[in-house]
Amino acid sequence: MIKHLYKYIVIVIIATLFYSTFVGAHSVQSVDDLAYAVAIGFDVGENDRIKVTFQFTMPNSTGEGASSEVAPIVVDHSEAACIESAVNLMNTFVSKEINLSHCKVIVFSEEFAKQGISKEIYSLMNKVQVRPDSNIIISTSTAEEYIKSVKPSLENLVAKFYEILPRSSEYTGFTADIKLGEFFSKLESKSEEAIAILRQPCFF
Amino acid sequence: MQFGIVYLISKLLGKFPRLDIVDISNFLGGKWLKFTIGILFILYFIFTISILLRSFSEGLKIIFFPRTSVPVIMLLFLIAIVISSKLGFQAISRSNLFIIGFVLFTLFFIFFANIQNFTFQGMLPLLGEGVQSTFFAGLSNLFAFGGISYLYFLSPYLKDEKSYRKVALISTGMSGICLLISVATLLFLSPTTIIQEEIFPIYLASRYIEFGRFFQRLDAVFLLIWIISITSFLSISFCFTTKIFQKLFRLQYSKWYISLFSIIIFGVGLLPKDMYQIIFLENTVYQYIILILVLAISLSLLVFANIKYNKLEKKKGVVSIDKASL
Repeated sequence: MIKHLYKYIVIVIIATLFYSTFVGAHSVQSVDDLAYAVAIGFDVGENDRIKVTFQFTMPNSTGEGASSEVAPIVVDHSEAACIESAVNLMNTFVSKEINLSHCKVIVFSEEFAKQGISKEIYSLMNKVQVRPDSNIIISTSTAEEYIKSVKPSLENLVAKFYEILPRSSEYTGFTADIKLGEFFSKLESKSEEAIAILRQPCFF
Repeated sequence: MQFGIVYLISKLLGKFPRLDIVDISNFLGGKWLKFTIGILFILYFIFTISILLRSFSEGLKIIFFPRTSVPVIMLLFLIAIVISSKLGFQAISRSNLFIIGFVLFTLFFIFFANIQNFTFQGMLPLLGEGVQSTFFAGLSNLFAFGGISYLYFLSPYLKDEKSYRKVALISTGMSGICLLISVATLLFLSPTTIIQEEIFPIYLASRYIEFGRFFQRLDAVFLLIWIISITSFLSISFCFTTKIFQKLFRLQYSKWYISLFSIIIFGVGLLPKDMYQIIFLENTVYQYIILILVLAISLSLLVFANIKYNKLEKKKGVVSIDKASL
């Protein structure tokens, strides 16, 4: 009897441990509680070292077959000494937690890029949420201007637009599909030079 | 080099069929040597399991469970290890046989799926920074084959004692292929400075994989397989630890000390303060332990045991080592 009781106690403890740690009901973090940034822009800050612009989409509109209406886009920015601080600062302003796992493009203004972006690239590569397949764009205008200018008329979802746009390099040859991982590898390589996509603000 | 060492071990163990290194140390130096070697290997296995458990749990926390505390993740692994250890050596080795296929497939898949992202110049210069650093200073890199330590304990568990050499060489060859494929993937994909800094370098490689717009983010599948394989590795190491302890103290029932060892491993795993300490223990301390205990001490012990065996053989004609008396 005692032996069986011991077994049941162990099973209950294990079940409680699993439930309390992995079900996550106590610290609700569903899709609706996250603010997905689809683009991040870096400019030279006015009050601090960098000005980071975030472009968010509504989480329920990111699915491809969601609706035929254009998904609402929110653009906001914060100034800080580094990306981490900028994200933290932005997290205090917005009601939801910022998540970069669906970030499709990383935009640097030309002015900022001229100062060197290796620090930012390292930080981005070290962030688990940022994918190595995000595109790297250098904007001739400010990154904020570029991000604000992206209002695709042929596409409802801005995330899909960002994903498809660089792939035009496969059939036009006027641009290149440069990704964060590739850019980072070349930045460190002794045999190759890192290149990025150069773009102007687009009014589609 | 590695095959040479494994061949040497199998040759040296050839005269001691169905005996592990603890039994052989008893034959060579009596009880005191048996206890010294046994305890050294127990400490080595505890260290390996604890540090790997902590390091992997830290990595999982960073990637998947940022809000879950590390001890909880470690505990879940420990539960799996304890359960598998209670199921016995045979169950663990069979599940390992099943899992190794998945691991090999994953490594090859990561390599071939990343070919489009490879920069083959990454392997240059071919001989590293010269003969001195590659062939002499690089000898310490033999610690990558720390798995050799398991070969010292494998013999009693084989059905056919004659197949030991075959098993040892095949398993070394397989681990060599795994290592080669992993290193090649990383070398072609990222600069070496980055590989050294990463927590899960192969995880980083799996994040690059994509097939068009539909087949992306395979890293989650990779991590699932990796979790299973780490659990299986920890289980086999844990099983060897308890078996050595059982042998040293001639114990019959394993229940109580399995729980005891799991608590010790949990405690040791929590000792490092941060990732910096874990990396130091994994890369530097572990390297010296492998070189001193697994290669230097164990190999010399086998050599001396063989010398003693040959001397006795010359004196008595036939040497019979009764396992029960050991």
